[in-house]
Amino acid sequence: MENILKAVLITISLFISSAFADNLVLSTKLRIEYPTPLLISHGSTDLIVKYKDWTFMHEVFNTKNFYPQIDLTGVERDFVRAMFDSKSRSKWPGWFAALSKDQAEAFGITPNSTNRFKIGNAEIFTVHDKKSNKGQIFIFDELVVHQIAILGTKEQLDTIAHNIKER
Amino acid sequence: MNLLERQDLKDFLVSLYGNKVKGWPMNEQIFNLTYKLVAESGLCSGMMDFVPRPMPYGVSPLRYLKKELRGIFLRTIRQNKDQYIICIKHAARNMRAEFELAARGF
Repeated sequence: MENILKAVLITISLFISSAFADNLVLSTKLRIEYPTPLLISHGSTDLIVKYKDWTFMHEVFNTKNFYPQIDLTGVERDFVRAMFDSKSRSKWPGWFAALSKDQAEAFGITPNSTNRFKIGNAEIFTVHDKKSNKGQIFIFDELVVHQIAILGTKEQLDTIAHNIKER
Repeated sequence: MNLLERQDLKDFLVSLYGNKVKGWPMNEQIFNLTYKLVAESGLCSGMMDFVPRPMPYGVSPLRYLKKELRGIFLRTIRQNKDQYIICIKHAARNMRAEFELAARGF
């Protein structure tokens, strides 16, 4: 009887630990609750969180990492907004509009592949391209823009996007 | 890949992703991702001349390409990097996470 009880307790504790969500603190205002991964790897400017069959990578959106040859300093938010909102491109110079349009195409941004919502004051933009099974989440936080690349399905992207929470 | 080929590949990727590439190992995964980036973007006609097609699905481009052709491919993308990165910069943004994973051996 005692052994059975032990086995049940061990099983329950294993289940609880695997279903437990970890917290990634983005700022004083935001955090992400994410499922416990297989491993986490920290690079010079990014964090990779790896699961058995999908991965996400977080970094602060830095235009110098984005296009080393093009300086978009100061217009990062406008650039992301222009990728997701084709109408907003018309107010920008031609090169800026073309750059954001081409990048939007590469990310697979269409009216059907995107989502946009707010958590507190933070604006969130997401895109998932079914063909390449990849997605992006852009989070307009108070001081910076976070970029999260997802190598996985729409459901896996939503696991992250829908668990962005206020602190 | 020999030493020269690794250097050609690194020079090209530095132009595309910046100085952080200097710390990346130039391994089979990185080569295959570069090949995929070039082949799948299909945007640089000059670059596409060195991409043999069709390639059987699932094979490693590094192993499939003949050594001589691999060398020409790497030399060409390195010598014309300023021109080529313009064609593939958008696709490259979409593949950055895959390169980061490969650089860490995942």
